[in-house]
Amino acid sequence: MTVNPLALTTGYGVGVSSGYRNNGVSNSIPAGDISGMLLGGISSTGTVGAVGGQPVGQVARTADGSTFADLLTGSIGRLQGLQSTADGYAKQAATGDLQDVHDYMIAASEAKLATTAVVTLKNKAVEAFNDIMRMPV
Amino acid sequence: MIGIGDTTTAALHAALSGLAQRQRVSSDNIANVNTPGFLAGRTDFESNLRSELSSGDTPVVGGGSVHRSLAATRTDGNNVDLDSETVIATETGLRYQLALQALNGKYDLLSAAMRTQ
Amino acid sequence: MSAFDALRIAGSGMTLHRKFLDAVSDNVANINTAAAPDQEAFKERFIVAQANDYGSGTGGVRVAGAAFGSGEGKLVYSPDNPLADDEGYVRLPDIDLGTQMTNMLIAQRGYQANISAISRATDAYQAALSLGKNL
Repeated sequence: MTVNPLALTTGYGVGVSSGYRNNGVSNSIPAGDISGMLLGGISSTGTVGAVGGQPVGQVARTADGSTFADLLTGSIGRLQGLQSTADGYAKQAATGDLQDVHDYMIAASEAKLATTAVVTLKNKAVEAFNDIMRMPV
Repeated sequence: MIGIGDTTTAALHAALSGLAQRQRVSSDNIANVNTPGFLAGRTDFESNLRSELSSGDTPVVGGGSVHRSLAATRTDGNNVDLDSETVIATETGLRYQLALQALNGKYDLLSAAMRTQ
Repeated sequence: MSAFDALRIAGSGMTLHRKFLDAVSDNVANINTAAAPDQEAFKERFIVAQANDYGSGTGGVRVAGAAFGSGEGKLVYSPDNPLADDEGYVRLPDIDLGTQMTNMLIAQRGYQANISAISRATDAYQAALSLGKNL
């Protein structure tokens, strides 16, 4: 069983891209708490086009060129791996073939933590999107 | 619904009922440790579970079987070995806790994924 | 090796020490069993213990068999005994009560040590089961 938290509740596909439209102020994506830990730190900021002919919707990138969307997709893929590892150990525990009890407990804890992290990210992203949509134009 | 009732949860459920049956048979053996002619009972649900999991079927709950042990008997015809029954009872209790934890962990994971706060 | 092997191994130790204790009590119960001089005396019983797959594999111990002491015993002058021969001797087993009492202590301590191994292993497994409980 794999759980895709984004598909589960928001109806969005995997990969939230952010195209900001603004009037020339350079943006820095806050590299706070969970995002920072999980995604390995966003180290550079991106500037979005100023008024006067620059393309709008240029996305911020990290030092190695990946966007927030890539990082989110990557962490969801890792999550599926962790969940299937924990599932495999659970099946071994059921048939009595489990070599070490702590193997299963560690895999289950890692899967739970990763799920919580991804879900929190998703919730924050949705909240941010809703905040922006509420802005009076 | 997605994810609820997949093979792993069914396997854990089958393991829980198999282990509970083993616990009952073990207490039966211990109660009859001095009954003449009593052969110790042994249960087996693992072989059924293993074959169902490897062939990809959904495991069946309650598929454990009970048979009589053919170990050597004492002079009164009783073959219950109190030491092994104690060890079997302890190990079954621990494996029951492990399976409960595993099932709990799965449900926890699902509910963590569904949170919107 | 499965997750709960320590329990099975300690259980085999318990069975062995119980059989050891059985043999020792058998010896003590028969310490005065007389026999006619032309027959064998009661032979002291020993348990042969053997490790399972020594050095690798399953581990644990099993009873490989029983061994018996010498049947010669000692000749004791006891003319009133119905089994005595013309000279008044009977054959009693050559079992030393002191050794048997020491063996009883050894068997009891071994049994208790294995029980303690089981309860420690159980505690360890239950602690492992509470990993990640407060996540």
